[in-house]
Amino acid sequence: MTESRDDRELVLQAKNGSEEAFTCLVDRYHERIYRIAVRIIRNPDDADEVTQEVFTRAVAALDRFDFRASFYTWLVSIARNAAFDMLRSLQRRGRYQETEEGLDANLPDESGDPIDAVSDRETAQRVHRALGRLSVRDRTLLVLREYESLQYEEIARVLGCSVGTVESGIHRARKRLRSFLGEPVTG
Amino acid sequence: MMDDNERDQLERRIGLSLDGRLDPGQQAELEAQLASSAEARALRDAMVGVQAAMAVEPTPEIPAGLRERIVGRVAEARAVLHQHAAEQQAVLPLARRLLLAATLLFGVSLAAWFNGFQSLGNNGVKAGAENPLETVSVEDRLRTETGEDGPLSDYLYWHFLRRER
Repeated sequence: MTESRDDRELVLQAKNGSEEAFTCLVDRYHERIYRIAVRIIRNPDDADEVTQEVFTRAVAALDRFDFRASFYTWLVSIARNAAFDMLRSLQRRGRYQETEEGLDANLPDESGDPIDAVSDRETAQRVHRALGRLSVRDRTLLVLREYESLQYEEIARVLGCSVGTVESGIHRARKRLRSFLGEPVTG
Repeated sequence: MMDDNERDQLERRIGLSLDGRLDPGQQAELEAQLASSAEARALRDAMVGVQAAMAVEPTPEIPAGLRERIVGRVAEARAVLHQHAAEQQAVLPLARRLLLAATLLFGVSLAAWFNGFQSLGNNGVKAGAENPLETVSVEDRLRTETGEDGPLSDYLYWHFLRRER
């Protein structure tokens, strides 16, 4: 787990009240945080809201950030909490359901080989649906590992659990995803 | 043919291998198993296929204006934090002043009470009574009631006996 020197300097400046330093951190990480949020929540508008919430919570809690994790890992922890809070809130209002909304806008560019493009499009849709069928926790594990390439130790820190739990969770999530994707496994 | 448990264990090891978490010895052991078992290779291929499929899923697009919305919300949050801090700074000195005033009041009350107690003990009435002629000492009262001088204890003993009657 490494802490970029630039991040450290920016965080220290932000802690001392520099709005410019915090804006640099926003510039650096808001896209990654949004992508995590939208992959967990699966609704662009709610993910947008969650991303704003993440940085709002971060600026309020910045004094308590102690550099034990990287700033990015810390942000991802906040994102995970904010996303889960959002899903709980949506669930209470009966609004949480898996949806294909926004998928079309995010499909792969079809300018290449049309056969490959159709194949990729179908695969993307299958993956999208299969990820949607996973529990939020399993989906979060796979998003952090497969899309964000976080190490198990970092994921454990984000989720507040042991590395062993992360290892088991990723194994279980992959197994379920494979089963949802209907990949034939022959022996 | 692997049983469910063996398959599960193999799948776990393949997953760890894909994530680069096996030590060289464990990795070599896995490679040997993959080399000797078509079933193990099929399982590994399926898992690699899932990873490849996930990689095909497009990167979500960033909504227009997201950065500005975040910066705006952060500025609002900062303003609220500053206001809260300012209120705390205003409240703290007030609290300190109130505490100081309460302490002074308590000190003055304690001093007055102690002084009053002493005055009562020495003179039989509160110090600073309006009519100095009414200031009667314990000894005076003892003399008046008993006609003779006596210690304070005698006076008190007599005084309470009389009250009971």
